[in-house]
Amino acid sequence: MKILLASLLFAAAPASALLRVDARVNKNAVAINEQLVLTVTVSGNVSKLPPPQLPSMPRFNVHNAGRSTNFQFANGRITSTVQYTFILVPHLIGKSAIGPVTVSLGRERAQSQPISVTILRPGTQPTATHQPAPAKRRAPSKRKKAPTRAQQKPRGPDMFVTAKLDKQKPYVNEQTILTVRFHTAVRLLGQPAWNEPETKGMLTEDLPPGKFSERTYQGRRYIVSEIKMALFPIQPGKLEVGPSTIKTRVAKNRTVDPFANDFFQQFFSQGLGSEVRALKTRAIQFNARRLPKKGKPPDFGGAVGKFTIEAEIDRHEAKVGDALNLTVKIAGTGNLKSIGDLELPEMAEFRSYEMVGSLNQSKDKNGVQGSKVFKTVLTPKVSGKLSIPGIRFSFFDPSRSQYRIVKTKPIEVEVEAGKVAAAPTQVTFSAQPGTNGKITTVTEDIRYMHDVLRPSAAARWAALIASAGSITVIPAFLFFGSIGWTFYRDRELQDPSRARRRNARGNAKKHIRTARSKANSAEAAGELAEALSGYLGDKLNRSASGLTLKDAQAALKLHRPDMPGGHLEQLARIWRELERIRFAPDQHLDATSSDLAKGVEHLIKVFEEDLA
Amino acid sequence: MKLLRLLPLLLITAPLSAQETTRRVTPEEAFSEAAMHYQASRFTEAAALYKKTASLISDSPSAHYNLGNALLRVQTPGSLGRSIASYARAFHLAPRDGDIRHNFDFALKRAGEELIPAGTPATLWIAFHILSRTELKAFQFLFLWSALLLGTLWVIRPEWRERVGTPMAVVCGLWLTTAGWWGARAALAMKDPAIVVRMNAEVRSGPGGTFSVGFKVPEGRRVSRIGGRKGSWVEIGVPTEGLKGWIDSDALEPI
Repeated sequence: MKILLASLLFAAAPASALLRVDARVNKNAVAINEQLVLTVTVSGNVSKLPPPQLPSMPRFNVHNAGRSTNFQFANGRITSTVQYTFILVPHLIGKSAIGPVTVSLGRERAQSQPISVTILRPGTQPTATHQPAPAKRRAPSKRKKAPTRAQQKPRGPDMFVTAKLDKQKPYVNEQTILTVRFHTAVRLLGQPAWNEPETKGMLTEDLPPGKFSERTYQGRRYIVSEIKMALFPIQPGKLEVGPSTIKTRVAKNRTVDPFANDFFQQFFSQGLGSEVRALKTRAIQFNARRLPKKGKPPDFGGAVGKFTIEAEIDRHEAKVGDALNLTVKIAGTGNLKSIGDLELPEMAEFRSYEMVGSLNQSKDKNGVQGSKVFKTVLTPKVSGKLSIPGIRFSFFDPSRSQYRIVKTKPIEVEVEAGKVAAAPTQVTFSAQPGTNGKITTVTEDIRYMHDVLRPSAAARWAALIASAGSITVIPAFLFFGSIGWTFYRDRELQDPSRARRRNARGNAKKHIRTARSKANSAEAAGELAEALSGYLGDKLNRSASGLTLKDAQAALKLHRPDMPGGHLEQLARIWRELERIRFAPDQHLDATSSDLAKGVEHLIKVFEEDLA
Repeated sequence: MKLLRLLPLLLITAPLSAQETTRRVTPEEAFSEAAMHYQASRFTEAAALYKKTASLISDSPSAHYNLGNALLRVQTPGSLGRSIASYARAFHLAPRDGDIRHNFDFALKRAGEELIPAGTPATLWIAFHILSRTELKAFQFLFLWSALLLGTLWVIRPEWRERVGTPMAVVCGLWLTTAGWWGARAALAMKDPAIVVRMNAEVRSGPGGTFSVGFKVPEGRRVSRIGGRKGSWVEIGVPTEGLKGWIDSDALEPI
């Protein structure tokens, strides 16, 4: 196939998705009755690739012929490739350009290069010049001239459809091609739409449509289009491919008679009336045969078709511990997707790693074919001349009706000395001639084990401190407590009278308690007088030592002009009584000091309410 | 009568034999015995004893490191993933240990990964991981407590403010640095990390074998358990590829 366009790497895109789109056509010159296959390949290292945006193609009718996805997970990276196939049917002669196909993922955008295509007249060789060959031009004219008017009357139907399977008794999982042929002898006013048949018990793969052809049936010429589908029965027994439908719009059946009186009316009304025609294929029944038990290899994984196997290694000389890349390719015709993981034979001299498979599938008129490639890494464990034994793959060949086993040829590898398991990193410092005194790494390996079990003291301390996060509450309390205390202290210093007022009652109570504990009434009275004068001094912001009854009464009146007179009288009575006891103790009984203490306490309580 | 005579003997010997059979092997004994097996290339036996040691002293980087070495040598299905999990634990405890870093990177490369992500300068990455998360946490607590105590002195002793001010500013700066570093390490670390210990482990679109296989993860890959759990199925994410799905919990080894 001639590849017309190279892919365009989307270099400006950020490195995150590495989005790429390639667009190719199978040829760049096509006759009007032929078709062109446009293959668009979108690839990137994300799992969900966006669909491509096709440019406007006014000279072509575009048919989607399916897509295939290839998904690889290798070396820790995902690479997805989705291949879209489009059939382009030209309907206007001349030079045409297929614009860039674009694909966008977020802010990333990639596009292919435009493709130029020349659409030629029917029967023109694509490689020839645009001037058609005289012989080929004469042929249609002969056909036009030959029949008479009576002969031109068509005998066959305007259009019809047929469906056919290439095998009537396929084996389970054997590829069977369904071909639907659409015959038309009239001009179509739109694209025919095909509804796929119901296929229970089968896997299906869309195939690209076949070529347009011409066929004469019942004396009438038809243009025949082919639709193909690959079927893979997944169960034995009677299966059915249901009817499929083709719907198309055609001009209403009006024949323009050039000799009729209303010729012009007929001529100009041609094409204005249209109708939708629906054509249905018949249901096709067939029998899927069970795969025979006889001769079934023990490692048979269900592959049916015709396959070959090849294996290759990237180098045939290595050192112990080196990585050798082994590639095994199974290619052929059949359902490649049904090929499971490949088992490597027992290889005691090699250490093998997991196999990563990737599918490369292509479709043409003959069905699904391609290859499945498995890759793995082998590491020689020992030195010497080693051999990778043949890798076998078994499948059922339906053309021979028997199981077959294909095998790769053994691969020889020359391995130099050096044993990974026994020799950790061997670093040789050599002053021998030829090495220039440089250190040469012989083998990459893990380092040796440690012999100190317990973690270090520092590590234990770190773990202890890290687990003691709740201790944070102590310094946090100290810090925030100190802030609160400082704030409180500052407020006290700024307004000492306020502090005196607040502490007045507390101080008085202390004196009252002391007074109650005194045995001597004069001393008790002295304490009570101090309690009372101290309370009033603190409340009124006066010096308690120089406070007289008159001063106290005047200050109370000044502070609270509406203070009840009874409270002041009570103050005067208690004050004088206390003075009497203090300065003339013999005149009074001890029993009264307790009453006075109660009286002072009550009076302070009253003033507390009055001065609040 | 014979039984009666034997009874005292039985009573004496029974606890002795029980003591013998139930005598606990100390971690040091298991560790040194494992080393002997390792030197004699009996890696399976060595791995079993190192595993026991690591379970007894879970904060020993050496136990996890040696277990990783033994598992890497065993080369049985799942041993690569388990050795990576052991190296990850050892690295978590002792990130400055060059041997641990080397072997962890060596094992990761076999699984198609690298310890230092591509595009990250190695020096910067090593500097960022020079302290373990436990050490960072401990440092940030120490600096926080120091800052609070110095702050307390600064508040209650105005006459000391000149002397306390500079150390307090330094300690506050160190606290903010270590707290930010610790926070960055926690934020950038994989959430609930685990290692895949099954070759080509299938990750499905839902929690059950009936759901389709979305993708396959090679053994040894680091994945994140992103929360969901139904029966024996765990929801995982592969951050580098932006993929997520459900995997059988037997195919995972939590770190």
